[in-house]
Amino acid sequence: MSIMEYNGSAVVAMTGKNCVAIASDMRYGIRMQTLAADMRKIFKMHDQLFVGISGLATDMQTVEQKLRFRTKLYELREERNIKPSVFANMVSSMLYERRFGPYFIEPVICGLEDKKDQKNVPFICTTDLIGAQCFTNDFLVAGTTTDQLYGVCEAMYKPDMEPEDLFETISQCLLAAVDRDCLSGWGAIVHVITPDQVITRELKSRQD
Amino acid sequence: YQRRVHGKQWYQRRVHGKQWYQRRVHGKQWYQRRVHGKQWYQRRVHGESTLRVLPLSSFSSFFTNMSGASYSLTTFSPSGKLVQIEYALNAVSAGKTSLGIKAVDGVVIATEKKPPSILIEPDTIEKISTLTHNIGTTYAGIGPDFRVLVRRGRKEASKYNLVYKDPIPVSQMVRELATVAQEFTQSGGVRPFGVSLLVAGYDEDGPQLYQVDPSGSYWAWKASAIGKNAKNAQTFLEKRYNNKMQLEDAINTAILTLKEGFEGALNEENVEIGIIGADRKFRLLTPAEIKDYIKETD
Repeated sequence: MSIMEYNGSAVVAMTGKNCVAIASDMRYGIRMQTLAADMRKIFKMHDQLFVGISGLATDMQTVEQKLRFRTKLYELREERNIKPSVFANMVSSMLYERRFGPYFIEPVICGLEDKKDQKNVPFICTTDLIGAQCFTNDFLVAGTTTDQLYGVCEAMYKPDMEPEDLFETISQCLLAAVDRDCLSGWGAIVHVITPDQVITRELKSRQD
Repeated sequence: YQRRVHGKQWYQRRVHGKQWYQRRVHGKQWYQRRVHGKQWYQRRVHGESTLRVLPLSSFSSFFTNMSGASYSLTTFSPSGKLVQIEYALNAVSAGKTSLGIKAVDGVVIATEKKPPSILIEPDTIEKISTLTHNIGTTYAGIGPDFRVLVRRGRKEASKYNLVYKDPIPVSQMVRELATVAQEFTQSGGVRPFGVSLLVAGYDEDGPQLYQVDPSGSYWAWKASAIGKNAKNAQTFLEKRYNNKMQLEDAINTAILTLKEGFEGALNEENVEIGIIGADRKFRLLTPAEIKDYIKETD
């Protein structure tokens, strides 16, 4: 039994037209027993930066606290919000510091950032447990449900979707995928990040 | 018996038939003795005697090794001043004049570069250094201290980039340098840096000019001068500066200001000028460029 499958999780992030969405399941379980259906696995760092963490629950909590600490200090020192790409690199450095005794997590970073000539460019990035980054333009997945999520996302994803469309797509992808994985599910939450607002919706799903 | 050795009081005592001089250092008993022409200091540690050979001159630097604690050499005077920092500022005021001017679209820093002899190769003297692609710095005061700070600054900038993959903002760079300067006013066995820095950079917040003092304080300036002729240069700049200055005007003003307090003729061999413009790349002006600017100001 792999340590990454001790708790179970599903996290997916997708990009749209000037928007990003990140979604996760809400199961808190230990091995085969489900203990709660209201566990948050996606954390807001600031209005345009969210990070979803899959993997071992204790490390998920610790890493979230450490990242929040580092982000807060950055904001105090630099008097500005940390950019998602800079945050992703910070996550990568932080995980590599523990190269030989790692945190058993796979984070998914998503947000909007201003590039040189464009504003509110979607940014998504995931790393493995020791900080190897992966950047794409379309979607990224993490957790115990990755195989299933890759399948549905590849089939249903279209580039440049509007926020509402993006929400529909990512929700259907997540719900379909977690039904094929016993270690995730028990509810779902979706955050859609646009330049003006963040819309958070909890999905009604099969409670099994 | 008692005796003063190097200003410190020693007491004489015979131990095991040999002549020893003893002294209390930080609550621990030390014994001093010449053995085979070398000066020895003996001390009882955990009931056993340990002998340490130390040159007599470094006896005062004892403070850094045995007890683990380090005592700062910069301590408060009764009036509340840190005298070492005042003296460091004196060293800065004795250094050659340097100045910086912030324009609307860039920053210029300039410094006098008078080599002590005509036999010195002038282009090997580096008084203006690059810290990152978009941050440069110059100084007034003790040159070697400047080199140490530049080295630290470059390292801190690289460390920042390693963690964040983002170039360090100018204000953060200045903060790091100032922190280093402050550490040297409070750490054991070291002296403050004998330099004030002028840091020029261009980042997301636009062009910026900062001054960092030996105490570790820093300020952002529109225009500033440090070193020997600082007062006059500062007054000159106050009159000449305006908020709408372009980089070209700033370079000319910088040259004029340096000319004011310059001993002898100002030419492209005895000044160093560094600029950073909207392209956000810090660079030094070549002697040919400096020559042209000097001609313009005539």
